[in-house]
Parts: sequence; C-alpha cells; structure tokens
Amino acid sequence: MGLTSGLLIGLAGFFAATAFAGTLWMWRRLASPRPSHLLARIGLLLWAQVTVMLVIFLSVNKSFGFFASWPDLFGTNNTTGVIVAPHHQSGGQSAPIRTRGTGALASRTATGRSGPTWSLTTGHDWSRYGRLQLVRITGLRSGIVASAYIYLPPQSFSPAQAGRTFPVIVVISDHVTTAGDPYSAVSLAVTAAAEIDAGRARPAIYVMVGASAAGGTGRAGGIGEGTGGARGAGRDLGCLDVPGGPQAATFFAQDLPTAIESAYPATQAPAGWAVLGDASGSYCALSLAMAHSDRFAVAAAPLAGYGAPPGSAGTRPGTAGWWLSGGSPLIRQENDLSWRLVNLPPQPISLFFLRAGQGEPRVRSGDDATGTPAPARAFLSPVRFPTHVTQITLATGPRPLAPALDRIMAAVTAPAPGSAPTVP
Amino acid sequence: MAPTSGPFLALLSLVAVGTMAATVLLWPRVAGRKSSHAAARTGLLIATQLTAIVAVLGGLNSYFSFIVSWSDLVGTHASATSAGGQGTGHPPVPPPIVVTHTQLAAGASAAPQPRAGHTPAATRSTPAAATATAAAKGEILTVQITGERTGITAARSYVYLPPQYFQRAYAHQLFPAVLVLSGYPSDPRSEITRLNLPGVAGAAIAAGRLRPTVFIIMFSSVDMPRDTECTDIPGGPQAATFFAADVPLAVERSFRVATSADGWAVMGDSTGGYCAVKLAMMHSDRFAAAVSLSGYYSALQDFTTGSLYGHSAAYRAENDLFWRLGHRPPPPVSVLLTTSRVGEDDYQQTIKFLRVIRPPMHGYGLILPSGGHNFRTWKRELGPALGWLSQRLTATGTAQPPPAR
Repeated sequence: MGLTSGLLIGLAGFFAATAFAGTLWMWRRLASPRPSHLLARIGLLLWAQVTVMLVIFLSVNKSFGFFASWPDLFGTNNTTGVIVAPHHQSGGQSAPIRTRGTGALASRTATGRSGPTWSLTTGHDWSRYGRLQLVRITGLRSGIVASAYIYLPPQSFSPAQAGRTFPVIVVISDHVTTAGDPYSAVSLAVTAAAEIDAGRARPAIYVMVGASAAGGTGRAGGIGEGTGGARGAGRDLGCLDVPGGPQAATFFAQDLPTAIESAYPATQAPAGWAVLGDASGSYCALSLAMAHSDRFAVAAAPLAGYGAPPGSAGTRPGTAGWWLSGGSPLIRQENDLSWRLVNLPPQPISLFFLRAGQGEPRVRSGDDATGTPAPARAFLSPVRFPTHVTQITLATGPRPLAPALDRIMAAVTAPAPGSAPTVP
Repeated sequence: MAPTSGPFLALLSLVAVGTMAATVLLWPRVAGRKSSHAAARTGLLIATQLTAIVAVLGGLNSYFSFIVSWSDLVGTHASATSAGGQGTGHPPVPPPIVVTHTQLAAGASAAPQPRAGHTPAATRSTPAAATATAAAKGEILTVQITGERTGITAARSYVYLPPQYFQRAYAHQLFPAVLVLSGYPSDPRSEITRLNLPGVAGAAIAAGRLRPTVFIIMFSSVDMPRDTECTDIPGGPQAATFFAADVPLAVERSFRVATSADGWAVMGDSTGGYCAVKLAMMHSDRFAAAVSLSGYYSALQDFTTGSLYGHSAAYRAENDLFWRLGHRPPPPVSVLLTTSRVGEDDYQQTIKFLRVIRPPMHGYGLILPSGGHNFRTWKRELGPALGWLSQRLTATGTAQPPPAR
C-alpha cells in the first residue's frame, strides 16, 4: 500500500475515529486507581494520539507531496536520472545589430570665421573625429525593432587603445532625423565630436533612437484614446513595459544595452551608462534611470517635457492610462515618477534637468523653471541621497547641448569590471 | 526562544506530557454519568491530542526548517523602505553586504554561532592562518544583503566561496556566480545543512565537473510571512528587482565574480525553482541559465501570497511562465527543469513546458523515476545539475588588481 494512497489514509482515519470513540466508551470502566487501569488509560490515550497524528501526517504529505513512497520516507530511494534535451531546432536568431549606413565626421576651418564648421562626409577617416552609423537594433527579448544612429568616438578606432571600453549615452528623441534640430543625430554627433576634440567631454558612444520605439514594434506605435487598442499616431508611451502590451522598458534596459555591448567597445558597468531625452523623450529618460538604475546611472532631460505618467487621460477602463498600467491603479502609481521620487527608496542616480539659455528657446517649449509643469515640481524640491538633481543651462549658439554633454560625461564613470572587491 | 530552539521544543513536549498526565490522574473524577462529566471527558481527550500534535508539529518544523523565527510569522516591516533619509547631510549608506559570521566550508553542518554586527575586517583575527585553511576548504559567510534600489534587506543569507577563491593561482580570477533561492516557507540554511550544497559543489569542483563557482544562498520570500514569489509587487516589495538587480550588483561589488550574464545563473527548489526560471526569463540580460528543482510555472496567488499583481489580470499573465512562452519572444537562456514521474504533481506541466520552449531559449529535463518534494530528491539531482550549470557559465575574466593605496 503506497504512502500516498487514499486507502491508507482511510484506514488511519478509521483507527483514529475508533480510538477516540473507544476511549470515551471505555472511560467509566477504567476509572479505578488500580495499576492495570492506570496503564490501560495511558495506552488508550497514546493510541488515540498516534492514530490522529498518522491521519494528519499522511494527509499533509499527500497534499504537499513531501515523500512519494516508503523508500523516499526512509531515505533508501537512490534512483537517479539523466539530463535530456528535447528536440532543439537550430536557432534562427538574427544578429541584434545590422548596419545600414556609415559616415565620417569632418571639421573645416573656413577663413574669416571664428570657429570650425563641422559636417558629415562619406569618407573613411574615422580615427580623427569619429564615425556616425545608421543601424537596426533587433530586441531579442522585447521583439521591438528600432533604427538607431550610433556615434563612435575617434578613440575607439585607435589601435593604441584597443581593449578600452567607453561610456554610453542613449538619446531618445522624436527629432533624431529632423535636420537642424539640436537632438538630430547629425547635430548630436557634431556636438560630441567637437566637445571630445576640444577635450571638454570624455569620449563616449552615442546611441540615438526615435521616441516612437517606445511605442512598440517599430511602426508608428501608440494607442487610440478610449479604445485601448494598439494603434494611433506615434505617441510617447514612456518606455514602459505595458502588461500584455509592448515591452519598451525591456527594449531600452535589456535589449539595447546587450546589443550595443556585443557590437561596440561599450562598458558593462551601469555607472557608465546615461540616457538623454528631449521634450518627447523626457519621461522615457527619467523612468529608465529611476526604474532601471542597474542599467542607467545618469538621466538628462528638459523638465518641461515631463507630464507624468503618459496617457494621463484617465484610468477608467478603455483609456490609455488604464491600458498602460494593465488596469491597475497601483501599477499606474508606480509609473508616476514624482510618486516614485517621494515614496520609493532613493535610487543611486544623477538627474540633470536642461533649461534653455537666455533668450534662446532652442530646446522646444518653455523649459525654464517658471514653465515647470505641475507633475515635475517634485524634482525641484530637495531629493534624498544618493539621488542627485542638477540643473544645466544650455548654451546659445549652434550647439546648445554642448554643456549638457560635458556634464553628463563628467558624471558617468567607467570603472574596470571586478576591480577592488570590498569584502575578502 | 526561537521556534526551532531546544527550550521551545522542550516546553511544547512538557505541555503535552503534562496534559496527558493530568488526564490520566483526573480520569476517575469525570467518570460519572452526568452530562458535564461526559463533556469534560471529551474535552480532556481532545486536549491531549491537540497538545501532542502541536509538540510533534514543532519537532517537524524544526527538522524541516519551515519557520525558524517568530518574525517570519508576524513580519518585520520596519526594514522595508528605511534606506536613506531627508534633511541636511548624507546619512551613511549601509554597505550592501555585511558579513556577520564566517566558517570553513568543511564544518558546514555544525550550527553557527552568529555574532551580530561584525564588519568584514573584524571577522578574521589571524588573516594569514585563516586564509591558509580557507584555501583548502572554502568558506561559508553568513551575510545580510541590503538592496540599494528596493530597500529590501535579506538577513540570513549565505555566500559559499570555493577553496580556489583563496588560492594564489586564482587571485585575479573572476568566478561564475549562482544565486540559490530556497522555497516557501524555509530556512535558506537548509540548502547548506540538508542539501549540502557546499559539500556537493566542493566535491564537483575537486573532481573537475564544476568550475570553481561562488554560490549566494537566499530565501525566496523577502517579506515574511508573505510569499512574494520573486515578483515586483505593485504597491509592495519589488522582489524581482531585488534579486535581478540589487543582489547581483551588490555581489559583483563585494566579491570577485563575473559581471556579465554568461557568468551568472539562478537556481532554486519549489518556489525557488519558479523564481529561478522566471528571473532568468525576465532578466536574461542578467542570468544565462536557471535550474528549477521541482518548481512550477503558474503565477500563484493564494492566502500565503496576498495580492501580488495589483489586481491586474494582464500583469499576472506576465508572471505566468506558460503565458510568457506563448506571448513573448523566447529569451536567450537555458533552463534545467527537474521532476519525478512518481511523487511530483508538476510532472505533466514540466513535460509540457519543455515541449513549448523555442530557440534561442533552450530547455533541458532531469526526470527521476520517483521522488517526492523533499531535499533527498533534490540532493540526488544536485550533482548532475551543477555539471549542467558549469557548461553554461562560460564567462572568463580577470579582475584588475586593486588600485595601490
């Protein structure tokens, strides 16, 4: 009879019931002080206890499956197994990064001008000012596919510095392909090249991605208000992992870093990764650092662009806010970055808020202190250590983001992996 | 008086024996025909049974290490979000890993005498001599790990450092790391005392079946008495972030271990097994492999867990491993799932799970003819599982020598 058989438990139950009833039935006949009666009492009580415990042990063991059989119980079950791998189809795994175009950066000093002018050429002299590349990143884990521009600093082409790894700035903006915008890939690459060349910014790898990648599958992502469907024009979905929907946080915090690390000399240390957003990518940038500080130690964005959380239309069923948070007010609360700032443990991150210089509305609508939207005000009150908040005033002139890049690069560090363990 | 301590068990036994003796002695006094006597008889009999059952359950709890401290039953919520403070100046940030006790791995089954509040430097009075022995046997550190991001503190955690960790030839080597999560409810120390993980690992390393590896042994629940199922609970403890971000980064900062996914794996039994596969599938950038000893695949929610998914069916689905296989791209991880044909409820589910895994995810099964949901079964599976893990942890790397002071 098996250890877990119902018959055994039934039998034990029968014994327990009869022992209980029998003890009560015999009670009055064993009430004398005679030693034989005393012993009989003890025996009856013990039998009643043992049988009831047997029932409990067998039932609990059956329901939790602790011991499968008698040999299992007595430790004599020594059967072993071998590891089997069911049919493994060979993986049709696509490369996470495919290059679609490449250009070199060039600098030229024209006579009669105060500074050099910069341009993108089709040349191959990358070791002077760096290289700009257009690539396609395939997110293995999220399934999101996005185009990205990659700027590699000239130092990454230097044979003398082979093996060196560089910090990474991920830029998230709707204007990566908008000619002349400070957040366009060409403007950013030129700014970076100029700052690195002048020694004002440490060399870094720039990865510039459209904010619409946050919407899902690479097509114009977004959702229609009031329908809950995954359609609509490219909206800022905030780089969230939507329960049951697009996994943009997984794309930016897992797929993109591992892809970049596999293809370029990028540091693996989170302290070496920063994320920069314009007004369209500010929630994205801040949420990536605040919820994924194991990947991004630094975030920079214009505070004016922060309206939190995305899909603010409401949380009634069917609205964007409801869909983005899987229908859960608690998840929606966690997507609210100012709530996180006040209510969750302070994260080990540095946040930089970008404000336009005097009379230079270069970086889109109202990004000065007076224009700070209500949901963003929490960021301007004192924050708790180890979170740091700093304001950066952007430059006037052709490269407004230059001071921001300098400061971000001063904040990121790229320590060698495994250096200086603290215990033993 | 801990629930597994000798005095407490003695007290329970004393109560049981006392009730029994009282019943035997009072027996004649309630032997009358009155209905009050009949009621007293029934009451006495039930009392002897209950006290005996409680005493035996106390003994079983001590043997299986289910609930080992009273705070497991009532919870210690004070530590949940206490990191950092407001106002002027920076409060001292606690180190992410504090060593409270150190012992040689060979004497692992002896009960430790934790000495609270020791800093790593204070644990070794004669560093040279201690290191010489550690280089032969390896060490087990009792540690407390504090999550920088989540504010979660896991006391009663253990780190096994293999003998090679202390040997000159490996002085600049980065070791693969395996996070081991015990089931619910349990004492993670069972992984040392009952599974004998350090002993089995040490033998496998000595026999060349396992690369020298660091094991971090923790309890899968971070908010006792609640079963947190390694979930980022909306409005509650962020257990997944703790295990996938806080713990690996804290360990990487404190020990010479690999910093890339191909040097990290996660393993567990029962609830810990579900945790292992889920953490690897959701954080394949952090873990390359997972071993689930008698784990399950559904997103559990019952009276031990409370609300885990913020009342969101969609978020609960994200935590269901079968749902993930059907609706999310397969992540680049390898998983080893163990079960028994006789004795485990999850046999059919495990076979089904292995069948629906698609590349780049890879599934492997270790199926015993029979074996229940217990440490003896897992002990039989541990050796092959460690060998399998060793083939998947391919990271090679050397630590930079520490900067000159």
